[in-house]
Amino acid sequence: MVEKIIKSLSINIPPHILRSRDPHALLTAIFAAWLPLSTALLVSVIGCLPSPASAQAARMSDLIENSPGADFVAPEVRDAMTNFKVSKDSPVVAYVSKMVAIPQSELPENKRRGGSALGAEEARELARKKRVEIARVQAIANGGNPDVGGLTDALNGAAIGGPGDQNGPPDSESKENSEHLIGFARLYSGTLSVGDSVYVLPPKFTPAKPHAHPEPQKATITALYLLMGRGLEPLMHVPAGVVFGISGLAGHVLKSGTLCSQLSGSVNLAGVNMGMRPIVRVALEPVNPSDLSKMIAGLKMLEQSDPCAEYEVLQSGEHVILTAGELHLERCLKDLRERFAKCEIQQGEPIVPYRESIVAAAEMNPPRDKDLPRGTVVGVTTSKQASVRLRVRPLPAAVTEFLGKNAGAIKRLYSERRAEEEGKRGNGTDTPTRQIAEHDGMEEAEAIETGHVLSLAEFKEQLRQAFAEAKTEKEAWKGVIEQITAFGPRRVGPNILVDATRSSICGKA
Amino acid sequence: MESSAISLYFSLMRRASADAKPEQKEYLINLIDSPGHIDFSSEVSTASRLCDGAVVLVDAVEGVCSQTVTVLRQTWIEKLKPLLVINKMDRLITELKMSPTEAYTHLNKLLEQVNAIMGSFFQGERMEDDLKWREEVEERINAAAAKASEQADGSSSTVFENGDSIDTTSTPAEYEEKNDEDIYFAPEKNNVIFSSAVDGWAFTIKQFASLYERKLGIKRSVLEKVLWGDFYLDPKTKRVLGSKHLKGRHLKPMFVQLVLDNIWAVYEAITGGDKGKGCVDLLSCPTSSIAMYILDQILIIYKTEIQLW
Repeated sequence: MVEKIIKSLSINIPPHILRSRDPHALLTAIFAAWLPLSTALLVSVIGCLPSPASAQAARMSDLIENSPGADFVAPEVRDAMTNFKVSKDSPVVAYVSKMVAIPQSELPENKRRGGSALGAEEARELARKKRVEIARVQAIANGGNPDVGGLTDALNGAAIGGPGDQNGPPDSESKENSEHLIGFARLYSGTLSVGDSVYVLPPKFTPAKPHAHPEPQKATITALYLLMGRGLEPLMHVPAGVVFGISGLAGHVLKSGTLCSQLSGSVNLAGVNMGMRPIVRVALEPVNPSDLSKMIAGLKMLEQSDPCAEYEVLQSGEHVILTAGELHLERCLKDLRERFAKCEIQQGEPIVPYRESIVAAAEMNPPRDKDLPRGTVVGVTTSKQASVRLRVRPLPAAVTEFLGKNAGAIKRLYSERRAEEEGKRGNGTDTPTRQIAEHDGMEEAEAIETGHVLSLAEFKEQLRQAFAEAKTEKEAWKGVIEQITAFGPRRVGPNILVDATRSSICGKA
Repeated sequence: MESSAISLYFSLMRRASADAKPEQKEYLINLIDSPGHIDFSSEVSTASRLCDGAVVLVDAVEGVCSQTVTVLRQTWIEKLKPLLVINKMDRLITELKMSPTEAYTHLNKLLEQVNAIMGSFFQGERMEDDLKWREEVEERINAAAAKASEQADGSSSTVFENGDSIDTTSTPAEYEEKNDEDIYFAPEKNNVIFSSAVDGWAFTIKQFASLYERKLGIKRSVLEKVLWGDFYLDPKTKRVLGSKHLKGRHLKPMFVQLVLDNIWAVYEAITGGDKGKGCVDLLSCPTSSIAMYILDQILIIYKTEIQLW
């Protein structure tokens, strides 16, 4: 009966599979001959999905528009990207999405096998691989212009570094332990070759200010790879449209970045922050304290190779890893233990960061003491001589925003006042000037950000306006400006302390 | 669990017409496999920037899950053209023990779910556009009104003319009603693949259309359109009927009769099926009447293999 199906499908199934007792083997054999998975998928991909040329024509203009400083992108770069220019003299633009850690021993340069241990089977396999690879390189080199007859040329011409050679000497053990970072990239225009040097643009780069600090560095490409899952095949050239591995970026690219052949008028594709922030934080420590340095090095490596993992050291000295979720954490720890740090690592309980905020009255728990207005506490000193009454209430949004923006003005306010006080106390005039000088540097930085530092009068006037903007509880904030005693936290911030005592005991700010 | 890439070299022999000499075309397909778990959605978003198109897999039994929506949204945001793969079709047969007709209705519903999601993205964008357009119109009216009142101070005669001259009906090109037809998945458009990766098979309507073209004497282009949906094959005249012309007869849709029945038959024959003797009957009707023309229209050779040996 099965034979009947096979006959009617006019396919051939090897007799040993027909006779086998495993129905699954037979099932897969029949389907592989009748409806092969790869054919259906690849033919549909070819038929339905756009080629890099047409996809880039459709997508690039939007992508460039959304990148930072889009107006400063040079027209030739824009043109090369949208029109998919493959030629060697077109500008090179590539996006590195992440850095992949590959064990040194798995790099094709180092992957050599002892010639003596090679069986006939293996040799054939290797030779086959090599030929496949050559065909592939040739296909890439030819681009859209395949030339089947030119195989011999390819054999002569593309003597691609001779990796995978079976006669190489066995590699030394020491090398195999280290990890090598390879960029996972896609080329949008131009052709990239080994030995080219390109500008590496960090994610915060904007073509509006190409020479802003830190100025992008040039990196020389030491190797290019065709990515074959875990395996890598070395390449000499990569034309636009290909997803490939790139070596020589370690130390230049942290997680993602853009490669460009020119600095001015280049485009930053990594600038848009995508995806989510990692939320699960766990403190890590090595089981053996002497492994600490190993663990730190491993964590740094992990941070680079995983786009979503972050590493930080808390003030308490704890080494904390931030991951996207529990599964991701598990995976990161496994990578750390087995590849990056190679030591036993203990994880602590997840750390929940403590954050507080002021919410609207309606959302709050009912007050503990019903007689007092909301957010009020009354404390009496032990001697019952004085009582302190403190009330907390949210500031209008416009005010906090204003205070946040004008941190520089607040800072100057303080420094001026302190100078005044110092001047009053000590008769010498040297001290205050020195103090102001100390603050000057910071103020200047702030001033650049806000435009200019407001004088006290201006500051007060604008603050009054900000209060006036607040729609609710206008009465409560009336005249408050003259009563401000301090800003917080740490003197510059969006919080204010208002002195509401009748005789204004505290000094004014 | 990281996304990994593989570059597939693929060469395809295709005939422009039935008699033409097959032409060889070569392709290099860069495939990035990215994990589906929610913890790794950042991998998906970075990978989608590198790609030109997307292949989205959906479990035939589980249907649309929360991550499916996330991934589909990602393709929408990055403007990637998606291809839908309905995977694990074997589960419908071996696990849920559905009949081909049941499976067909199930698949129909699944496609509807997926298309509903695509439709919601489209709708969302439309509404945003609409809002923008409204705001713009309003702004223009306000601006005109302000201008009019300014002029009113000087001379009061022109006010009304100006107020009326704002054309609110004209729509700039970017806010025109857009056609949403090309965003949906439809097997007849060949952007849906039915597959069972574990058993190593997959097919598209196009493939089956080319297989049946000669057998049924119906043009491939016609077959591609009728193999999915409410179309039936008249057993006597061998003509395709719409559901209106059924006249009370109980026929199976062509997709069930010509596609699913055959796959089910193979499974039944090999795994034994539920009814021991039913197999022979099952087989005699659809499968025996087909001769498959594999490697005829679409001739696929892994060229590298041939070069080698």
